[in-house]
Amino acid sequence: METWLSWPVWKLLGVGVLIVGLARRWPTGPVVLGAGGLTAWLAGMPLVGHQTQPGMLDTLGKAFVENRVITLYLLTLPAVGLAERMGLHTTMARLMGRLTGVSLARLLIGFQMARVAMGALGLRLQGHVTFGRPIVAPMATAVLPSPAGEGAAKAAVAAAENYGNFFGQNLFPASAGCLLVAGVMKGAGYPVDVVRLALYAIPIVAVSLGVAAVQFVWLERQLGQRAEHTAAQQDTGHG
Amino acid sequence: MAERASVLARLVGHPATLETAFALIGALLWGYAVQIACDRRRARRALAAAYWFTLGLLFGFGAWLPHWMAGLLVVGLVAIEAVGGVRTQATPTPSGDISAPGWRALWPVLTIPAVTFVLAGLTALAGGEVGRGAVVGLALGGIVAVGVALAAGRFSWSAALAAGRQLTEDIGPLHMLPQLLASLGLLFTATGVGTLLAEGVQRIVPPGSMLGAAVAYFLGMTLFTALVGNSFAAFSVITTGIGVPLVVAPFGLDPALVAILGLTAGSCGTLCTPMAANFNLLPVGLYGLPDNYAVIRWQWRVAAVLWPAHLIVLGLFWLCQ
Repeated sequence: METWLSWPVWKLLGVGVLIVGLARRWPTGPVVLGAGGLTAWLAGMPLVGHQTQPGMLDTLGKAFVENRVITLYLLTLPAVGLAERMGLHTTMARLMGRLTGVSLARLLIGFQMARVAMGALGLRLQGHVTFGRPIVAPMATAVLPSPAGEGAAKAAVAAAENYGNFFGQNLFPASAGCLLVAGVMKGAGYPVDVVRLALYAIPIVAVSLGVAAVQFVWLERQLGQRAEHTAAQQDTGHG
Repeated sequence: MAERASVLARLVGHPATLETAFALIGALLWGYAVQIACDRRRARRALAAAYWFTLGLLFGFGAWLPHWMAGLLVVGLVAIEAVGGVRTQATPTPSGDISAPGWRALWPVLTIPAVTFVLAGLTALAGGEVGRGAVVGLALGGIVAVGVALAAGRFSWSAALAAGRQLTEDIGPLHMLPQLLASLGLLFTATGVGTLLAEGVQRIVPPGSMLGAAVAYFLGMTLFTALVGNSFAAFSVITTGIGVPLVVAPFGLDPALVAILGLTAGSCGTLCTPMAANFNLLPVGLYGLPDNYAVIRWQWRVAAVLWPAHLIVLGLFWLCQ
């Protein structure tokens, strides 16, 4: 019994709980804490530590307090909330409308670049609800040669939002992502500087902009060809 | 001049500066708690008020509480979340008065990054730590921006508190997730789960191969993120388990470079998974798309090109070292 329990792989059960819980969309806090608690228990960690051995509650409390800096942006939320009450989203929408040219590919590339710029400035906004659906998607369907490609064009708008948002936010040194990375690396014994993290994020942002641009140009060509094709068919049909 | 500069660097670097910012957050959260407690129209307001009060306690007095007591408070927070005591709303909806839009609305939100970058720059010039300057700048920016917004929109202090509370409550317990995950990473390190994962992966990866180790780390980040739908969760597990012991430690690579590439390798996984419902499934309904995987079908192709780019970037930096 003793040897069976001391098999070290049991400790990985906590990782399993984390995977299953998050994948099944259980409430995240309890899942994360449950995974940590199970791991600590399987590793024989006491609940409250003593001089020789840290306990589970000590480790949890210490890490939580030391990583408060990740959640420092709470201090910025009153200002953002007030700006929203002053019509921030409408203003941003107007700004976005001015930024982009006419072709579909240019619109999508411009949208992604605008989202990268917002990320680099640390402006955390939910882009699908704020810009994608109300502004960019109607603009995208308006520039299409035929309504046949509407679904594809709208899906590309959603993708442009995700590309710009995911990679752009790392460019802001005080973003939650950079601060989390700094917190974890400090815990692992390799403290890193958040400004360095933001600088090292640049190459992947550049590649993501380039690759996405190729995709958007390809989409524009594809839709253009399809429109020509259907137009030609209609001509012979009426012929 | 030089003396004044070094004063700034010392001020930014002093632990009391950040502790003041945390105390302000604590006060802010207590303000939210009072507002919630006084709102008679709300159901179960006692639990929600208790949640934000406890969080405020952790922020304001965290440095003075014994660690086990802080841990107990964190468990309490999670318990309140578990019984549904705090509202969770995954997608914050834009709220606000759209009757009088104007450029003034941009002032406060641009104040935050402006102050952040200026303070980071000044700290660097003064010989201090840039990253620390950026962090203190974010806190200061938030405070200055409230002043700007109050002046520009002629709001009252209680309006500022209400606006902040609404945004904070909209995201709800998700605020605490990165912090909890960082704690989980430390717990995994302390109990040896990281070493265990590393040993398992080490059996597959040929020893001494930097490429093999990097592939294992980035692939681990991508797959784990795709599985759980959250690159932050994957980061604490895979980085303590694979990234640090197998990539950073043996090859002397810049830890900052490896870590940020690991995070974006995770984002490649986010692009491909329905588990990131917020980003990949929500637009299907929102935009009225023909099928559930319309967004992912676009994104996986870009992710497939971006992923090997991570290895190339790492290799280029290694060659230039």
